[in-house]
Amino acid sequence: MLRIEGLETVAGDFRLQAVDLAAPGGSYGVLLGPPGSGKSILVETICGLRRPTAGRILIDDVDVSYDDPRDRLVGYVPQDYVLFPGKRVAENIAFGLRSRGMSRHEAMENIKWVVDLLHIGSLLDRWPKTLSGGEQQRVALARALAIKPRLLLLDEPVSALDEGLRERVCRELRLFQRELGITTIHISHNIEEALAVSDWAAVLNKGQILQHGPMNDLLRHPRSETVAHFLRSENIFSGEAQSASGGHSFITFPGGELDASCTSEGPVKFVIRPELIMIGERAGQHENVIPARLTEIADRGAYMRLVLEAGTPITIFTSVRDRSPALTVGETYNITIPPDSIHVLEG
Amino acid sequence: MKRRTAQRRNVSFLDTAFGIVLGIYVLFIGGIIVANALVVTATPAGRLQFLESIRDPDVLHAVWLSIWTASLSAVIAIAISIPSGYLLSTRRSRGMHFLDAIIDIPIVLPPLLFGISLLVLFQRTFLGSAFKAIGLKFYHEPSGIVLVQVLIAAAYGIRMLKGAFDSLDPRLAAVARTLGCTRLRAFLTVVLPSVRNSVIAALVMIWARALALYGPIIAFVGATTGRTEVMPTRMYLEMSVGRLEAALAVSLLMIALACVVLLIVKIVGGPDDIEVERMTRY
Repeated sequence: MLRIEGLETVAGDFRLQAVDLAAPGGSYGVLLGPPGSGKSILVETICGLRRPTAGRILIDDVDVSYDDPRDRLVGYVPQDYVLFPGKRVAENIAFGLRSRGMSRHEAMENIKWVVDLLHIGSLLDRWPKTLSGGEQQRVALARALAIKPRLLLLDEPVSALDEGLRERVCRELRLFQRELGITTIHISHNIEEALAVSDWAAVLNKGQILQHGPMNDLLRHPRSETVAHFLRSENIFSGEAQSASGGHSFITFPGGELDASCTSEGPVKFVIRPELIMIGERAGQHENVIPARLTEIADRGAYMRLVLEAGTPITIFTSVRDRSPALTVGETYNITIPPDSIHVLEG
Repeated sequence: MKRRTAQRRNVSFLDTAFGIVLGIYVLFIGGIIVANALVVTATPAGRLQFLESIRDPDVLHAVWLSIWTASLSAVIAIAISIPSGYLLSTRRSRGMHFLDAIIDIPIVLPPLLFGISLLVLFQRTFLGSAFKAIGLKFYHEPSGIVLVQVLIAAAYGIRMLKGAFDSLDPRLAAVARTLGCTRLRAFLTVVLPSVRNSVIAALVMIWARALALYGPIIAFVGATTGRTEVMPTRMYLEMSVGRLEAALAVSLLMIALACVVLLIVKIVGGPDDIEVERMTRY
């Protein structure tokens, strides 16, 4: 289990500010954030490679804030893996055990389990330079796991891999983590990765944790406009809310008036996930039906991205199967926005 | 036949152009060696002078003095270059920039001037007498040759190894520390083996630089025959009295010595296993 309380670290002009984070034991968390948001600095501070200026880091309830990195028992897989170029794969994996005083023979015996787990027995005599990206990633993971760490930190572990390989490797990472029950934090700027593997996610920006929780919750209920933007909520609108009875409000925005399942009042900013908006009028309780002119259709393979103009551009993700009748750019269609898909941002 | 055609096709215009550049350079260097050898061996007088030179006890002393001073200097200079190069590479501050500039002084200063400056430092400041007080004498001593060689050659070693450390991923040591290493162990077991080839190359260059120095040695230590006379000094002195064949004979000895040492380093250093495996795979 990892608990971070009010952590602050200074790195040049950059500052991590009052970071609070809790990772339950055995959970898989993803730390999301744009490049330069401080994700790697946070991970390096957890490893002990950077000294915090304030706050505490607790691993399994033990304060390790100022411990040397070698005493923390934290497995760290840096971005691009950073394998030791002058050592063969077997020596790379056994390095941690050898550093902790094990004989060469003993260390080689003790890495067998991780070599078997990651299926890298055939790579043991190879030099790191000769490995593919996927092989390097497995070796770096094996090297970190061989010391049986209390916490595993993966810094963009799949960013160096081909697009097609990433999803498979993410699934494998999750399987290994479940098998070992090790608390894991995975750094990424990719939402799909976070959705594929995480029990929880946190969004970091400019050195601050903006939101922390299950990934689905972050996606559907972003707390701020920054989080919504980062999580690619394309429909972020400004409007004027008027509270009504029954836990509902009416929000007036350039696209018309929307019935929303919230109790906001006054000027508001709100988001609607593109995948929750439907094209065409549906029968039932959905009352927000507004006409909009289709301006753009983009085939994204798994889904279609539509942009419609309804006083303001509204984006919709729809499945290819649902695209009936055939849509034509320039035509006006009714779109349906469920009241519970409207999420009002804080502040 | 087919294979030869395929090989010929693989040689690009760029390879040919680069080959010509390399060829011209090698032609000059090879030309120097051949010309030296021809001058020495072409005439009976030259041959006689060459044989006299290699049997002369003073020349043999100079050879031996050159070998041991250059070798000792190379070991001391590499021991200075490794930590200095690493520090200059990994620590960035205004102070480090200043130190970095100081390192270049032995490289940019004419060697003779460096020897004179060293003489001034030892004769006009307390340093000479301070060393004398603890029993270390450099002036007119073979130890002075080592001092001159170390001070000049280490600058080249530091510059070269700083470049090697610059090209390394700084996270190598960081990862090693998370795996259970102290900073020193991380440096010795991960960082240093990663620049092994550069250390060998720096060692060779330092040794060669130390072997070839003579201006600052003459200025600081003098050239007493049978005591502080190294091979390049001998060569210079032979030239200055018009004994060209004798000077060239010493020069041929130096070339032979350099070839032997470079060969030994190549054998001891061994082939680069990583590169061999990489090249065989791709």
